[in-house]
Amino acid sequence: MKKSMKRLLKFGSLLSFAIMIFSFQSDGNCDTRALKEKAKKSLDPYKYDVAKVTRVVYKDMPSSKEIEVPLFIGEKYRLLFNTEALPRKIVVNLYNRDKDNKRRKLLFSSKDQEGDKSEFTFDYSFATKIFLDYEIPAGDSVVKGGCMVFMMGYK
Amino acid sequence: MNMKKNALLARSIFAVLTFAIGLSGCWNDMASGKKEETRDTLSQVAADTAVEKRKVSDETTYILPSPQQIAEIFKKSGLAYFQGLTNSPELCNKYRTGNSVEKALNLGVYSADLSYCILNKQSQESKNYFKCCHDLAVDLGLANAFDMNNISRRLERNIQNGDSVSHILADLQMNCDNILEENNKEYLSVVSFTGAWVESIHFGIMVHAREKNQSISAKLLEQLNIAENVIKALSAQLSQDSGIANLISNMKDINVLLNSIPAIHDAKTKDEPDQDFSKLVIKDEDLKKLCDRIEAFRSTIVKI
Repeated sequence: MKKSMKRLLKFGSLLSFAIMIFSFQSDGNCDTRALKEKAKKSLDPYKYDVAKVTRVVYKDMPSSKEIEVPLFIGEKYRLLFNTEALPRKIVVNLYNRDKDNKRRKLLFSSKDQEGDKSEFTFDYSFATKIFLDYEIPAGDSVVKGGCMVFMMGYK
Repeated sequence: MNMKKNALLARSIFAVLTFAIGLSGCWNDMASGKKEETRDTLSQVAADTAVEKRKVSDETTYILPSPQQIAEIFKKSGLAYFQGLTNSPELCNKYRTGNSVEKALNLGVYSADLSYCILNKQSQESKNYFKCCHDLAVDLGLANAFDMNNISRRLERNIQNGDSVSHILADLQMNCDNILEENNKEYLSVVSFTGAWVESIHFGIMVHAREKNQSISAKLLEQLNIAENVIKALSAQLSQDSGIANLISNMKDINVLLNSIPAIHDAKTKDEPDQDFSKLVIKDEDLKKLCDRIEAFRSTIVKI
């Protein structure tokens, strides 16, 4: 009897531990400060200008988010994206016009990046605005959310 | 006896499981930023029952450049240094008695003054403005931003070296952004940028009035073109503080005047993303009207 209870306790503890670990993994580790520090290193030799951490929530269906970034003509920019705290990959697209504009042109897509990179950069200049669109896939009962870092540098 | 033990063990397992599930639930809430999620139940149901694969588009986020970048762009265009254009550092303590929006606005003004002095190698003035920025930032809960990465010490040592200082100010900007973001006070960053933007434009206006430098007026137009972005960013933070509405109202007046200039209006109608606003030719009287409005806005910010 004692043995079976011990087994039950062991099983219960293991199950609890597994639930905790699984939950932590499913939403990614949003240590925004550490993610930004890492991103800043990759920005070099460009100087830090601005950063935006986006809390990504995987909904029942695919969703999207747009970020409008003003730029100045003649300046050189590096745009950096870090997706390592996202349990499910999202697609980052850069456009020259906003989502409601029929004339908008795709300038960059993370889809075109080789390999399974969690950090990618895009150098750009000669524009007054740029629009970052995040295509977020649907989630499920396990995968709910994470965070995404965008950082921009100039030189 | 055994029955009691069994019950105790079963209870322990249940408690551990409940704790684990509860903890994971808390983590999920934190990690997914539940506060940010503004799910409208009705629209969600409608969306679910409509086209299943249709994408849900959230609101657009508006971000603004750093005041340091604006200062560097003006400097590259040949913005000369003239004494007396900056706001007096002696007024700093008076701003410290204001509310958080007033403090953030004047932190922005002083950060633009600091950049203007640093880029023009005005060491003593730079030190004075750095102290003002530090004091106002401390009042806004940003003291740690100056302690991290030895910002204060590094700045003091390199005050004569424009390039190094520029990197140090970028570090300081990132520290401030981190703290404000972690404390859900990003609105202060937008308000502070508004102050810095107005002060930078003020330098452009004043230097252009003295030198009639074509390159400065070109950069002025380019900077004014982001008025719309400042309005959008402030509007997104409207609910954070009652003082933001007044800033939006001032910025909208400036934007209306800007868009009423025929060359600007035509350029915006064309909607070309690589439109070089600095190449537009505008009448002196149109520019003056616009500059007067910006100066009036600046006066309301820096007045005591």
